[in-house]
Amino acid sequence: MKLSADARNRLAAEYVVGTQTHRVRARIAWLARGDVALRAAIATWNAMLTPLAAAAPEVTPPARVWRAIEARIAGRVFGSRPAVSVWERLGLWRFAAGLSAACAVLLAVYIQQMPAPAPAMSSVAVLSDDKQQPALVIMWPPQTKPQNRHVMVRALTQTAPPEGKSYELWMLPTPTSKPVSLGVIGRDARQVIELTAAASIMIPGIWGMAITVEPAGGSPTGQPTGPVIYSGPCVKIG
Amino acid sequence: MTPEQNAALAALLARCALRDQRALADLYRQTSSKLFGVSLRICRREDWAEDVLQESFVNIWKHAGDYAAAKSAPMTWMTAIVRNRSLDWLRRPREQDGGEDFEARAAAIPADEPGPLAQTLAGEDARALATCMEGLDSKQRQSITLAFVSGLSHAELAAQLREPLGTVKTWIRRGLLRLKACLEQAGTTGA
Repeated sequence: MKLSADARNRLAAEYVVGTQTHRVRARIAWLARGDVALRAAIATWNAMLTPLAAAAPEVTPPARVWRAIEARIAGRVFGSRPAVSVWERLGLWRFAAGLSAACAVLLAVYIQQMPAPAPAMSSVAVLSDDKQQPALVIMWPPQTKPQNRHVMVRALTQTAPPEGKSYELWMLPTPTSKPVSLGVIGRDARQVIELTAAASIMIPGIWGMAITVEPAGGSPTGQPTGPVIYSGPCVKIG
Repeated sequence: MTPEQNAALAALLARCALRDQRALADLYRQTSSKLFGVSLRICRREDWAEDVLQESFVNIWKHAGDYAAAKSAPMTWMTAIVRNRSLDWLRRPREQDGGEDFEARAAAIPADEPGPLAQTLAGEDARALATCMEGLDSKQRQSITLAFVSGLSHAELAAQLREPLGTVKTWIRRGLLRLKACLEQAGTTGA
């Protein structure tokens, strides 16, 4: 069914204001699934009218509601994913207690040496190898403007992936959640990696970062396939 | 909602998309009172509103990955989920669809219009909306508010306001068009 712009707007408005019968609502919801313009019109009306919902007074729901939600989402979580066991085996949690003294000193020196950074950095992750030797520092500015959507990568030692392989940088929202790729890093000692809009939203709350060895060009699956070679927690500095 | 609050809620949704249960718990802590209020106002029965809230948060958890594509503010996205669930629940075809629920609901609807919107609606978008709402005829304003906030259908509105169905439909349609034109002029189309 092809809708005229007027008809689409009218249906979307009535759908959002909510006056239609069950049958009409179901029909519009079904149409919207295959009609981008109708979905956009519904979103526009939602954005316009939703402030009205503030007229309904806030009411704290009884505790049983959250218990029911928790019971229903349990078991659908990361628990048994193989990618998780990799992080867990690393014992990344040990870092959570704080950076080692050496790391902290190195970081302080490093930050002082930085040429007047603009904009100021808000967080840093020091990535170390399995012997706790720091190898890379990743820093990023507060994600308040589109031009701040990047992380800066500084190599502290000379390191390069084996022939035919790439290093891929990952962020870990929590110690046990699925890693999110930030992309492949090159061989330069100083690099800037642009963040996607989604990564930019996520990065202020992340727990840690890691680098894995992947096939040239990065993991073909979107999740780590090779060994973790550097990892570390994130620390807010600004 | 300030931009910072919006960004914080969006970050929680992003973590939900990654199956971080603690993010959902935080999201629930921060938004459930508001959303429960929205649902309760529409359902007018605590047990129904509780079911709706539960379903809504399970949905938010399942579809958090789609949030980014929705391109709307987090509260707008979540409120739409809760309102849709509430309305679907309320309007669902029931086996014995007697007039009982309807009568009970009609009796529970506050007879007078909710207080001045400008007082309840904080924030910039909300202020623009409140101003434009004030510019509508009182009948248009009343029927749009009763429909959106209290979940009244065309038929319920007609009964509540003691006006013919066609009249009520026209108020809403014209009211919404005027509202949209006014908001577009104010430069906050919400899109």
